[in-house]
Amino acid sequence: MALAVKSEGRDAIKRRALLSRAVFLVPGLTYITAFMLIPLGFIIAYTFLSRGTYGGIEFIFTTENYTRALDSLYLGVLIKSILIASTTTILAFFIGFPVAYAITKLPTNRQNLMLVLIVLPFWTNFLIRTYAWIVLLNTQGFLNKGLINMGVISQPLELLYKPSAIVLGLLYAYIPLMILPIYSALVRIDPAMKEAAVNLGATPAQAFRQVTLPLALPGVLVGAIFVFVPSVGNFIVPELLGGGKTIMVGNLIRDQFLKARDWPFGSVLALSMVLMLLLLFFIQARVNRRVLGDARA
Amino acid sequence: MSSFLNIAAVSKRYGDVQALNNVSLEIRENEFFALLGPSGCGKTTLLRALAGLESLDSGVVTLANEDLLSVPANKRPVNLMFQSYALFPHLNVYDNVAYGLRREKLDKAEIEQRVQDVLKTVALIDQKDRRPSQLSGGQKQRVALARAIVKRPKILLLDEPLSALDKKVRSEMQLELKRLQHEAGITFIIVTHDQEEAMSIADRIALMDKGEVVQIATPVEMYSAPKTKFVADFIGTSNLFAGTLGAGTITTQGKTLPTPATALSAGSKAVLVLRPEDISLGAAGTISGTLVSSNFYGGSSLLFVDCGFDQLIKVSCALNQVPPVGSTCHLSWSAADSILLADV
Repeated sequence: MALAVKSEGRDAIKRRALLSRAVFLVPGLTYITAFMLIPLGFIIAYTFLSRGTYGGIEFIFTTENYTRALDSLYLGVLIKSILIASTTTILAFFIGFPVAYAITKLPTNRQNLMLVLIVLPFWTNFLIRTYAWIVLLNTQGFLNKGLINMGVISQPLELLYKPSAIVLGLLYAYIPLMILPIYSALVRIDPAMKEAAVNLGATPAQAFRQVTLPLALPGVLVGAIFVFVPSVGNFIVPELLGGGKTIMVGNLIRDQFLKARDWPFGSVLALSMVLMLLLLFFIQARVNRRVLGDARA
Repeated sequence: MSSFLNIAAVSKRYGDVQALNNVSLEIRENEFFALLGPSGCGKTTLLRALAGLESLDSGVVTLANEDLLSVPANKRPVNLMFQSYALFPHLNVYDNVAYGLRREKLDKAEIEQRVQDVLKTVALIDQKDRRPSQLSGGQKQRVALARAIVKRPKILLLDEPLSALDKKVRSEMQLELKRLQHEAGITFIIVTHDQEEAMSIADRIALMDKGEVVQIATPVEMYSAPKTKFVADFIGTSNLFAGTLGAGTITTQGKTLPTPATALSAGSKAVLVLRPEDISLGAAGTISGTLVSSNFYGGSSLLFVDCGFDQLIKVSCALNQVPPVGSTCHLSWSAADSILLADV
């Protein structure tokens, strides 16, 4: 009898421990449900409905929105967006990795200063920073005038309103998001790792390639996602620096909702972005597990 | 006995800190050598310099009569087992061990053979596909050891190899290390701050303090004939009495104790060293006092007796002869068993 009472007490303790942990989940879950899951449910529902004449939706089931998304016109925009975002991500890696690596070699107080400087541009409005590029790059801008005055060129260069200008704008905007996670992955690597590789016969270059780089890979993947995701859906940079000629999927989605008033089709496009994001996270998790093993075991 | 690794007058300074000050050591082939000392004494700096991970300001190091310091770190026939083990987390046990052999560009069959052999030696062949994160502390330690000895280095350096293990596993691993060293015929240099470990494992010990070598001796010599007060205090347990020498006596804290025969002149400052096991309890003694406490260490106990000195006197006592706490103890010893050192 005494035993039964004791085991009941133990269950109660377990239940209470579980409950107290669940309490902490409530704010996060509420937020995600209210602002993420419910709206996503609306979007999924919209994709199967028909457009209303003045925006909104009509409750008539259709799959036409999906077949329309496969039209080469829209597919082309999607592919172009992915290409531009991928180019941006790859460039961000090749520029960001050496920067992050160099920062880890500084004394600790200098490291913090450099990190603050890297994040500093975020304190200025994104629109203003993008406009600044127009001032710099247009045919009457600082760069062209400077080059003409120095006699390097006679005619101003057309730097704006093409894909390379979009890549530049996105790269500028999002490269801190590549540098920070790579930095945090690099500083966590035990310096003895590299020394061990050298001690076992590796040249410094081999030690870097075979030990430092693989151990920094999880950080690189986070950085890649942080740069790719806002780049692929961005509509401010393509509009300002791409001159509206090079429309990316972000512009397309916005136009469907605000200009064409085709909410169901806009929803299909938005959903495709969400699915792409999920796919990226899935790949990232797989690679992480491959690199670091299951650390919990 | 010829010297194999010859370290001559090496020095290293970090800013204000003299990490190594004119250190000279001769280490013999196939020797199990220990660098012992408190933290910050320079022993790890010396070890890292031998591995080429740290540069020296001055001095010469030769291995088998060839200059070692001019060889780049990745080409030295010297392998280091890191204190943190530094196993590559992204590689499994097999690939960790094979890493060094692959850098030597050996052919696949030989690598396979040597890795298999060494994994059998350290009894980890069944764990060869595991990642380091899936291993216990003792297993990680054995992988680190296997990864270093598979290279068949001329010298194996071990940086506090056992400090992360619990006491029981540690003594097993000490035996294991001795066996391996014997079988592999490799010169081992171990860095440790644990004097018991150095005493039980090494053929010879260099005791270091503040960047300098204080004494180089076998464990028995170091225990029975310490050169300085620092050595006597660091190695084993001892009672130290600092004072002024008289004729066959030392006056310490107002009391007079007998001294062994000495070349030191009367009137000079000296330290009398008395090991707990050289003191016996009897009906009458040189000094007497009250038993304050006794610590039980398996076969024997260590008694702490208050004889009116600033420090309690430590006395080793057989288990069945421990008097009750609070009783009066009479301590006696043969003056010839005590050690007298100049106090500088």
